[in-house]
Amino acid sequence: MDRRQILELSAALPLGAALAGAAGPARAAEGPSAEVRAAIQDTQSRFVWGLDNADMAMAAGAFSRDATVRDIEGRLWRPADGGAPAFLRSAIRAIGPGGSHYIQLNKLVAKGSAFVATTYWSRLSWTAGAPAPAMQQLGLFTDTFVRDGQHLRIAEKVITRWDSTTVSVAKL
Amino acid sequence: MPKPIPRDTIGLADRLAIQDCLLFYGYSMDRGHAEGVASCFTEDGLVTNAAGERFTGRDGIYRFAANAMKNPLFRGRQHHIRPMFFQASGDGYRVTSYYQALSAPVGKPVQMGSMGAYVDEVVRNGVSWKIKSKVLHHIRSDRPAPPLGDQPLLRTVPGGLQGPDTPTSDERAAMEALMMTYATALDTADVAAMTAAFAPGAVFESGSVGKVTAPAGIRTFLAAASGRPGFGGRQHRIFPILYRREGKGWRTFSYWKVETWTVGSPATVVNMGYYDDLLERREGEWRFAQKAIHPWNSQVAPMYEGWVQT
Repeated sequence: MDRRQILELSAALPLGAALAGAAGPARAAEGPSAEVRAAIQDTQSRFVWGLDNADMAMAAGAFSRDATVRDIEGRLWRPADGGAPAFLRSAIRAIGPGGSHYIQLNKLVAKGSAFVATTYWSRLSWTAGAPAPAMQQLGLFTDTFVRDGQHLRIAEKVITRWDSTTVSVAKL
Repeated sequence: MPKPIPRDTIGLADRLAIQDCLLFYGYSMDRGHAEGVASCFTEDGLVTNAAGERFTGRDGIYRFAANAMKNPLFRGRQHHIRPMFFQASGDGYRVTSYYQALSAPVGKPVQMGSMGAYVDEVVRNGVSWKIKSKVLHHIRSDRPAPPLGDQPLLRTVPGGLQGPDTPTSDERAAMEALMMTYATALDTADVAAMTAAFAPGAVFESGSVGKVTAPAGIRTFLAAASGRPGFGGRQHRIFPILYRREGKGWRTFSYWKVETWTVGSPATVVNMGYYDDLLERREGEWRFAQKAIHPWNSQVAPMYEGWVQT
């Protein structure tokens, strides 16, 4: 399965199925090395910090030059549509200041020379005058990382909601 | 002597040891262990709180922690800290982390207390690290996150000083991958992945099904958990904090919380607690050999023995 097929599959399937598809057979696989895991977490941190703090350079630097993004509404941002930078400008405008994304790298598997990461995310925001922060959304990132010099950058990102209607829970 | 690591990079073992120090600060605070909080700092350490007040030296930092612990709603809090960026700073590193502080009063929903960023300056202390300065920032619509400064963000490379009583970087990565496999398997009721995460005969203990044995008991637990109304839409978040060698494996202590988003309602934190796990490598794969799930709230959070409710 190539990266394009993974992207399309992740977008089309319920979230539980997408996770299983990205993870491969049901086993406690140890996966890529600790250094790869750390490098991917670094790139993810740049993405969320850049998004949360309207730092376009940092967020855009998380992506490869020809990256594509499918956003939470299902819109696909290809390079011809402005790609990741256009997506980021739109997303930064939409979420506004005072927020933080908290992420958890749940699965990381090698796919040829690339790596596919499935990551929980939640977005919190704290509005001035409110006594405490509030959770806004939960979701899942399905990211394909490729090597770019000494870094691992996102070549494809699929952002999906994680809620009571989108998550596939097996009946036991 | 290990080969020096270039200053535009950080060794993975050092990074993990720094992370351990920063998470132990939050864990000590949550347990009401003011001496533990102070022990994370250098003798001349400094804490600057979100109001800009400064607490200097271990005595000052002890007072800072002890004051926080006087809050009548103190018990039942957890700090969830995610170290994100490492930058060179003097002889050590500057680390920027997101944090959120939550509390679980019995009989009430889990409450979000605050969120923000910590900026820590850390220096080496043998194979471990100490905090020289910690600055707390709230992040709010009128208070942006602190600037990251001019130094480049460091790339992580193999190396660094490996402590004798800590798992190797690869062991930690593999164990944390297993914990996250558990989280997704639980949230999607994937019984095959869930049972594969446990060694045959592993003892699993929870409030819902008591003490059961893998693999059959894992299925029993998963069926009970996922059959509850409102289960779909949950995410288990896991924060491993402590590792201690035990037999052939590692005993780990981790915070957990469950977030959920039911359509038509706001996303919320449902519950939080801690795991007491034993992980062992069996036939080349890491597995849970024991797992115990415990709640963490204002009545049962396992406080430091010297902590006194005031």
